[in-house]
Amino acid sequence: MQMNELVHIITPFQNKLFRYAFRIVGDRMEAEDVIQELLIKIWKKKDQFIQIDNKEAWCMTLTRNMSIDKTRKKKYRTQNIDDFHFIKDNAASPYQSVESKDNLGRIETIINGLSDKQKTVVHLRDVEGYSYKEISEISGFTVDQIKVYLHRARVLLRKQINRSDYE
Amino acid sequence: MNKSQIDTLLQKYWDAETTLEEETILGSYFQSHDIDESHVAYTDLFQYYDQIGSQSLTADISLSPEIIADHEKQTSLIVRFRPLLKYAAALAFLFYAYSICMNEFSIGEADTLYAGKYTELTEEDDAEEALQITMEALSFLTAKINKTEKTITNNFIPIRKAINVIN
Repeated sequence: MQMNELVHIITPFQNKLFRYAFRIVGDRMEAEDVIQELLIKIWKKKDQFIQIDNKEAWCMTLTRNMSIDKTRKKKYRTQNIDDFHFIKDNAASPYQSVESKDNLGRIETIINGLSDKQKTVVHLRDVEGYSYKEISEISGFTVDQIKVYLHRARVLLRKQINRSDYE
Repeated sequence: MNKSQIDTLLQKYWDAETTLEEETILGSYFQSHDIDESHVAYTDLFQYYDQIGSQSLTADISLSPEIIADHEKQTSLIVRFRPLLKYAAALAFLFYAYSICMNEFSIGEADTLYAGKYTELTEEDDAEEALQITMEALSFLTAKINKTEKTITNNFIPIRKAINVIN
């Protein structure tokens, strides 16, 4: 496998990888670093990579692990992040660009109130459009767990949207 | 799709029972300009997902022998220095512990005080007096050992933290 072949394989879903990394590390540049490091890591494991059937899911899982690892290191440096997995309200987030718009900012706030598992599932299903099976491969949750997390998340979202609509 | 069909789909959506195709239909509906008044409250949620899902990589992510060489150089520096850091920490700890022992646990003082006394005694002199001096010396040593142990325990906390960071 040549280097450009590997880049060619990743290209169709590189934005999904980026958004997932961005969702976890909460910083655009760091998310881009994760993707660059991911490419290098895959290149070093290219023999293993070639044999993988669902390359996209495999890359998403690797992205998730590398992003969490990066956030943990950041946690060591700053000693301030008490919730490593997802973005705090005041952190630089992939949602900042939409946060300034009041209505979408309101949704952002509601989503930030979900648990980490619910946010993961909502992101993979409602933003990226993955099937339950694919989400299971990426996240390691069972399909039944995913359905439960998603149902609870959507019920909460609906409740919060209706509540804030009346306020 | 008419209002009742969208109502049905929405209810399925909140219950996490929609298929990906049905969710696509809902997404398209909320992107349209023909949204029923009873559904307007949920427009922001679907537009939010759409907006987040359109974020993409802006940096040029590529793979070349130079990039890999650079990465390996950085990694090899870390890998090369990591064991050295461990040894340095271990040496620092040993030196620190030794210094504490020398300061807190002065063997010379005990030698001078008790061994000097003991050599002045002969066998016939007084066995009980020798025993008394030995008991005092052991008591002195015990007190010093306890004090040293306490000091080392207290001082070991920051060293342990440092070792954890290095690991």
